Amino acid sequence: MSSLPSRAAVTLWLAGLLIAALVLALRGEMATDLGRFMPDPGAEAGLPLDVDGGPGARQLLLAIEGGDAARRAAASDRLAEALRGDPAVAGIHNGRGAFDPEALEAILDLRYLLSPAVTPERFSRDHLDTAFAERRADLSSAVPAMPRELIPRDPTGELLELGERLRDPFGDATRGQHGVWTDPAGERALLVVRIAPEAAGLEEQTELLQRVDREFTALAADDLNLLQAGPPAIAVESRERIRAEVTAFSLAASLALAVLLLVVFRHPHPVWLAAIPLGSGILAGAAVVTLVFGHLHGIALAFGITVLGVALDYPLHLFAHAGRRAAARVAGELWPALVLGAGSTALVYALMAATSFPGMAQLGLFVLTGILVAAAVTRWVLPALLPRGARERGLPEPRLPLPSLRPRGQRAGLGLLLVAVIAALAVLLSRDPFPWNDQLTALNPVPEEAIALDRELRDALGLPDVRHLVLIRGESADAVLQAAHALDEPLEALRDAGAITGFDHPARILPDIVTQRERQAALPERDTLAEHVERAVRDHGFQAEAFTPFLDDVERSREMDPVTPDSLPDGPLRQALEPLLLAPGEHSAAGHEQAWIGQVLLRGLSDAGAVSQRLDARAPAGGAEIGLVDLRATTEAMVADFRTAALTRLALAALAVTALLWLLTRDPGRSLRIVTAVAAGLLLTTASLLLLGIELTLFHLIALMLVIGLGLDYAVFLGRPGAMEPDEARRTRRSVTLCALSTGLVFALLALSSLPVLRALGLTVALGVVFSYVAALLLARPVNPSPTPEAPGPGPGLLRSRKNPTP
Amino acid sequence: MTTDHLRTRGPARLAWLALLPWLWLPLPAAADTLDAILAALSLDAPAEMAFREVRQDPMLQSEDRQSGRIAFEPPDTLIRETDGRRGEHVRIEGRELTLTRGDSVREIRLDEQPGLEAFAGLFRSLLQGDREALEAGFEVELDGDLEAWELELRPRDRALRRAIIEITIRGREGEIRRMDTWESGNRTSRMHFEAPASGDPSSERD
Repeated sequence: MSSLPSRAAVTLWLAGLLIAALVLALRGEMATDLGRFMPDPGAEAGLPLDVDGGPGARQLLLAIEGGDAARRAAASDRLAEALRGDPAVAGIHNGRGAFDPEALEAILDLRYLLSPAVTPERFSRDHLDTAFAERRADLSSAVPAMPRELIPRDPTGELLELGERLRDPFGDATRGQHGVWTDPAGERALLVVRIAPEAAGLEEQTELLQRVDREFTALAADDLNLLQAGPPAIAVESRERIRAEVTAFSLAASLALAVLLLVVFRHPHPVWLAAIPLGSGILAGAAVVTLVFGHLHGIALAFGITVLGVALDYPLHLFAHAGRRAAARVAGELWPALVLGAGSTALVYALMAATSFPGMAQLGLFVLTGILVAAAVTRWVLPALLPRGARERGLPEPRLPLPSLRPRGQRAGLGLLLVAVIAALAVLLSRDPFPWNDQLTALNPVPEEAIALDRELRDALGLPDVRHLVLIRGESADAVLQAAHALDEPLEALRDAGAITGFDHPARILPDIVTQRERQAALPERDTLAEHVERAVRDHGFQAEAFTPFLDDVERSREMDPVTPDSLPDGPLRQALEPLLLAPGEHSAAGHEQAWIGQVLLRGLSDAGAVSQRLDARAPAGGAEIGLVDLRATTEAMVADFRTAALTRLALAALAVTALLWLLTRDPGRSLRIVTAVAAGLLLTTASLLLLGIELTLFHLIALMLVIGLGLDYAVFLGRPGAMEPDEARRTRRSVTLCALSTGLVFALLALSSLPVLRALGLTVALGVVFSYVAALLLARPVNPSPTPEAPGPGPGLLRSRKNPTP
Repeated sequence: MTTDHLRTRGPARLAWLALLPWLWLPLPAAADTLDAILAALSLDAPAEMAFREVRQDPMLQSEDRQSGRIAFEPPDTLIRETDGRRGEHVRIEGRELTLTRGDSVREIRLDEQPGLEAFAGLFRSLLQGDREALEAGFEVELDGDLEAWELELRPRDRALRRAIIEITIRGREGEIRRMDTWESGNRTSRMHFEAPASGDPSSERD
């Protein structure tokens, strides 16, 4: 019969779960992109960047291998054809660069404003004469430089100038004998698929990748093989691998835990009840994070659940202590220790929650909420949920071998611990520089071969550097275009000097208005031009009226309004401009939401120093800001910054936790023992990782935070004042051992994972459990002398396990 | 009565009977002729034919006359060479195109020159006797017989059809005699060929 308060607690708990579920169902949004987990590297560099992570983030790279060159080329063409209409595809490029008539018409229409070759000299008599001679040769040639039908409109060949720029802004690979892109060895046909902004989500990308696979299978080219690379392929594969591993791990861990608990308790109730505080904590944490941040990041959720594993200890303490006693009373007895353990752990994560690293803030808030909810559920809800029999008569005594410790043994152990800690400190201090690995790629779950393939295809396709780019920020599109136009000269100089092999920027597609006006001014008046044309026509045997379309076009171009990003027609021009020029609202530039952003893509960059030096030397034009961004260096610097901030916060947390412990226990000696035990566990774990030759990443740091939580839990419980009595000491020791055993088991399983992130977590926590447990055990205050005759022994500090203490 | 019927209806029936083969036979007959023509045209040794071309172009005041040679080296190398002031040498091997004009030699992608690509494809399929390739590239209509044939060819590729409307080739047995091309914009070309002469055209070029 449940009491009124416990009934109220259960009602409150159920209502809370319902609200959390509602929040998640109505507002829940799971983010999976790294962009929302990390701070924006561009923003950190002072220049904002597209949220999608730099150039090429939405480019899927495909390679077809096997068969012979002709079959690969045919498959490349058919695959491109099949994918061309797909709504998720903004463009597909396989090396064939033909424009359709509409696109051609749009470019022809604007050619005199867009072509960099338009200067007054180009329309001088001499130049026109040369141009007409070339066009006359075209008419007799089997290989005309310009298609015959275009000659009347464009005898000076502006379209040829533009075509070079527009043909393939997305790739520059070798063209094989069958006219499609191949790798330098000619063994693979290459394609680039640009994913539409609307389909940038991981779900859409997964579906697109599957469609690409299906279309390729539909070609029924059994001897050919399709390879996928590029950020979308890597993102999708990472997710698949993480999902598969996590599913397998969860199953194995749940099974192992269930077996362990069944063996220890010989009763099914603890098995399912143990999951309730953890489950409630996860649900509450997810709901609170969703309410605060508007979405929940998948990475924060995954690591949050891992770190929240410490909440599994709380019900285990309850069950292990309960014995044949009423659970509610036991929960009340344990509550001070639970508050101490959960409260100090929550304090650590509260400090984490207050960082500028969005993912980490989510993780902190998630764990903070989860821990507090799990502790409260263990205290008030769990006892009420026990079936009546178990609630009244208690649970079977857990059966667990316990370490026995005599005072002498404990003293010797403490000595050993001291030596080990000093050695660990020596190891830590001897590492200079400390082996931090701040590259996020160190944690990439994708196998090395996939990364290598990506690099290979990227090189073969001549795609721009994904690490470096120049960003231009301006108040208007035209300001950005002016600044980009002014970069032509320094970039060409850099190309000539060999610092880069090529570049692309928005003004190469669409010049700024001033430049367009200059070009208009360079166009001769109709009468003047007609005179030149007439002469040339006579000299080369053209019909008198043959070039009227040319005269019309030039005259019209002189009067035209300059083209702006808004008035640019759909088609290849817009397609080429869009990735290079981002309007306000198309980027996530913190603090610069109203800015236009231009991206200058660099090819074959070999000397970043020279690029940045030359750009710095230039005064920004039109009030725009220009800067070279090294995405990897910025990311690494950000991770390092975060790490420093996290470590500072940890030091702060150590002080705060010490203060909290002292405040709550009002026992400086006990507080010191707890803090020492946690610190010793932490030091020994870190030193062991270093001795294993592991470079520490951000995720080792996350794992170490869990180790802190576990260490606190063990030390707090073993040091409870109530645990000084031999019976209670035995129960406490049993419960802590059970906790350590279960956590150690789960994370040892995780350490077997093939994914670096999971392996890092598993190994760190498994080691941490062992060291924290041993340290907490050795540093626990000696137990009072046993009043029972079964425990004969020298001295008052006797401590040993007994098989069957309850009658 | 029956005989009356026969008598009155006899001529009509005969006429129908006479028509029947015409309804049925043209397809296989034409197919056989095309196969025969292609078999006669196909070459397995290098060959060369001289040509004279007259181009009509509305942009030009007078017609453009050129002369030159087309050579074929099995399996798929095609050479088109013209003489005179605007003479050039074009060599197409696989999909590689080499253009020599005076002293300048340029490598160009064949697919940048759809007109030439169609021309090369056509000549290759004719001279290799590859009916499948011919019909894949063009809608083919055949008139006449092996002794005097005429092929009307219309490109199947939509983009190509915008540039080349129709090509007519006349020949006798394994000889191509004349080729007329109607291009968009009222441009036409007529090429007259002289009998093929065997020999190695590359050695001649050197």
